[in-house]
Amino acid sequence: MEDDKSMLISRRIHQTTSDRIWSWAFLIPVVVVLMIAAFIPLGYGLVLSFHRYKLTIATSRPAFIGLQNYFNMFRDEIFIKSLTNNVTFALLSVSIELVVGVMVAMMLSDDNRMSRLLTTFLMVPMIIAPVAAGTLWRMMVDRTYGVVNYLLSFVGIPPVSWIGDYRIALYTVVFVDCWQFIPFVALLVLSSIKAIPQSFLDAARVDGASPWKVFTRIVLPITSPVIIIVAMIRFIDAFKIFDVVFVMTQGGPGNATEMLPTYIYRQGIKFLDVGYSSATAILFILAMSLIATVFMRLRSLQLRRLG
Amino acid sequence: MKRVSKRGRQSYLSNFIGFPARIVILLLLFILILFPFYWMITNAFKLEQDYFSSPPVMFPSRITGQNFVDIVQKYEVFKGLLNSILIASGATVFTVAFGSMASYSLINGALPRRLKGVFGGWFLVQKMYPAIVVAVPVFYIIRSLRLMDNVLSLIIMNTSFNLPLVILLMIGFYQEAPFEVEEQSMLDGCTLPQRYLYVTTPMVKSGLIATGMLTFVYSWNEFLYAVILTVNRSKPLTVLIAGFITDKALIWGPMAAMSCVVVFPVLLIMWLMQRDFIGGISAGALKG
Amino acid sequence: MKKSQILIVFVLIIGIAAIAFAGGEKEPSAADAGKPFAGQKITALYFSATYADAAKEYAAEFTEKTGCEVEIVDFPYITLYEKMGLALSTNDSTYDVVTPACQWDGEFEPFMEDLEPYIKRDNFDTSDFLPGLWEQSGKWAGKIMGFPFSNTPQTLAYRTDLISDFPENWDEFFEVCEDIHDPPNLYAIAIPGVKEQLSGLWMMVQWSLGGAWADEDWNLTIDSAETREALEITKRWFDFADPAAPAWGLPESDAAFLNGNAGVAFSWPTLSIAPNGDNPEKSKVVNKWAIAPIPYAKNGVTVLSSWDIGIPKASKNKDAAWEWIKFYTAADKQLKNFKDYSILPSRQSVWDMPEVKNDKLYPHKKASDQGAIIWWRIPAGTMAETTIRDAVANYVTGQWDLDRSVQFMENGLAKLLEEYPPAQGVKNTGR
Repeated sequence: MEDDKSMLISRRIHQTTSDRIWSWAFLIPVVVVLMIAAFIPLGYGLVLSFHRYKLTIATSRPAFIGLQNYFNMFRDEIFIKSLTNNVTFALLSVSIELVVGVMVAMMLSDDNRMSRLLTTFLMVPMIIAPVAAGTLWRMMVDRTYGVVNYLLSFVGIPPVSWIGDYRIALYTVVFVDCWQFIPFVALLVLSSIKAIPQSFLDAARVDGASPWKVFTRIVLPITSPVIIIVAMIRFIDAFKIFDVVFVMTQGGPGNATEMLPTYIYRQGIKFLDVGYSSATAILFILAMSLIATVFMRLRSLQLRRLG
Repeated sequence: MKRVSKRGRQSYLSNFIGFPARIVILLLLFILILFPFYWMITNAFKLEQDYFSSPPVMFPSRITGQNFVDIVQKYEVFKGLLNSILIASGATVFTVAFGSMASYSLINGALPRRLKGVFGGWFLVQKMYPAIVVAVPVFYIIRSLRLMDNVLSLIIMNTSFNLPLVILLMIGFYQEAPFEVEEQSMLDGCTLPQRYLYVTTPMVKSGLIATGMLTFVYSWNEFLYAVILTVNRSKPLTVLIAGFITDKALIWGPMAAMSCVVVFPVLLIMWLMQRDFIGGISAGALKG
Repeated sequence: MKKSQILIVFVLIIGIAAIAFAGGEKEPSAADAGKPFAGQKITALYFSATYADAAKEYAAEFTEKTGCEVEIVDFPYITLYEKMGLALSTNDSTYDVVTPACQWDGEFEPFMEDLEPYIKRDNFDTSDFLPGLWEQSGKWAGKIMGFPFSNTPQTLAYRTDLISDFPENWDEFFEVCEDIHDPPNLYAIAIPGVKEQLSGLWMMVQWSLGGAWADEDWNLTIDSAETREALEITKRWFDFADPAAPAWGLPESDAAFLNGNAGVAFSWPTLSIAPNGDNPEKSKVVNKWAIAPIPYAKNGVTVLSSWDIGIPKASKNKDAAWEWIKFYTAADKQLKNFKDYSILPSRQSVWDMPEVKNDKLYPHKKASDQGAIIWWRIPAGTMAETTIRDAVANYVTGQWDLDRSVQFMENGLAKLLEEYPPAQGVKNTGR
């Protein structure tokens, strides 16, 4: 914080008028793009959320109904289900991604060739389009024709209906998400681990600390700011999941894998009920902002502790 | 088992839960990552009978290139490829250009101090909501700009999706870059645009590459708005893949073939630029 | 530096190849100059699969005849409604011809051109279209918004070597299932268990038992014994199906039947089973299958999947579009559609032709005559169907019990009727 301020002040010593004009000018393209693509639509969405308006009913004009949409939401069984599903999904996938991601990062933190090779491969699931990943896994987990059950049968596990059984489907979606993003967590945490000065670690080792102790007492605390940020990013992204669910289960079986984005899509695009879907979306943004604030607070606290 | 390497990290840390456990877990990971790709590639070359057979064919004894022929002739893969390239490159160019301009201005420009915080918050909000939320208003706007079924609309949308992250990361990079060089050029009388172009930006090259790659990959893989804003001419690869899930048949072969086309260009780019990418991302994460 | 050079070369190659293959707009040739619609272009929106394929095949012929270019755009069923709805309701002039599914008629009607003036102007003979079909698909609230061009009642396919006489009611049906069920080699039934198909299957059972969602005047009758019985029957089917069936779409369950793993397939046979059934490369049940209407039960009423073809009000090429419509729905095209794409005709004269009468698909006519209808065709219809869909899926997978499912249906439908009431004077032509 201190550093920031003084840095900014010192950089202002030589300002000229030309500089000032150009500085504002440089901001213009960004503002224009975001206005068109984000802020005007959001504003319009906010306004719509207070109306009942179904696009295809030609004679309807948006009818102002105040907070009615918001109240309806909480009486809507399917909305509640998509909310609980999404929360479960977020908690599960983020926890797994964090634990496994940190573990993998630790395991790849040395400098030998195998580790470096594997780090490269780690990037691969991250860059495959979620649509492609979803269709790929759908092919593989089919109960009868899928290769996953086939391979599992060699270790004596009977065939499982990974996306047909409503008790399991959600976990399958969690799995695919983890498959795609454990690498993301691992890579970021890995770079954080690599930034730890070797001297810290050597000192601890000389003192006779076991690797596990070094991990818990030194590595974890130092990397915690990064871990918190990563956790926040994954948590928020977990509420934006769409492609995979759309392609693998369409929210089914029943509503077992219905998530908030697929629900909003259903209401807004499928039903063209723009008022209601906008309300759901606005609520969503508010909730996410709250969560983000919590995470950022946590991180500042942690940074302060580390001094 | 303690192994000490002569230089660099010591691997006692990486064996923190034991060497055997480490080998097992990493091996499992390796298989889990690579097997789906193996499956995708073999499926792209299998004969039609083979992909619905039970038990599944692990090592196809007979292969055909027919699927790839089909995606060229029947499923317009080249059109999809061209669109994907245009969209991803266009979005990358705009995002990196506009984003770095804005970050530079915020850090080294003559702006009120508070602005950086305001922008930071603004951008964070952008990340907060699922894209679906603004789909209908965006549809109206794009339509009134007469940009339906035009790759430009997707370039704009993808630029907007990636600007927040790029700006956040670039702020970190610009902060890191040593100010003395810049200060010197200011004293020499360089204007801000000159400094941006010739002095400071070359210093943050790795940051530009990293954010550029992130944007490229994200835009290449984008699906939702591609479906909403395209009709026919401008469909990118992701929409074409989803199009295989029809009610008539699950055409696995061409779908796998097209998945290969979607995945491999990005893999290639990543492989060629990985060092810059990882370096850039790590720096960004530590600052962010 | 070397790496980036490789990259640039690679991108250039792809770029050039793409541009070469992508193809540009065709220049109007001198030969087209004299034709009535030379230089015009229309865009037609179809459902992916057979209908679009047929249209694409005829496009060149149409251009030959009229000089007008045709671009066929198609989408899978799951996104077609959105695409069509969004375009129509926002007065988008992208499409000149659209093919709504009959259940969307009431919703899209305000945005569609009335075809009556065109029919009168050209003295177009419309007596050949099956009247009952047209009422369900193409005519709404007294306006002709489209011509039906396909007419597919939901039927099923069954193995003639395993079942000799197809059962007449659902009890007998289950007896037959018990007889032939022999897992894991042969499952009595192949069902597409995904939500969007399952709801249709439930509906047809409920209707065949005499049930209905609401009466003619939109009073709800969904909470009934027939509804409950239909739910139970639907659930019971899965006892005789492959355990993976709840996640199967049409392609997987059709594939199971064609592979010889099922005795009965709930399906839309015209999509995949009929075209591939007697092709030894794609089917293991060559000459061992036939089509039958669903068990008659009380009235044999089944679900109708019908598509009509019409012109959006916002179109800028209405005359050319009208030409296309006449062209595509002509008797010769319908016969070709039938023979090459298994698209069932909507013209009586085509049904009467010997090639059609003697075809394996003819039992569809019987199903059609028994009664094939569609659910609510009002704007609230799509949402209503989703309500039904959720309830049926949750019940069948065991997540909800019977009462909760029925209650959900009732509450959902009631709320929809309240928020989006049908226009004045419009009657419920479905169930």
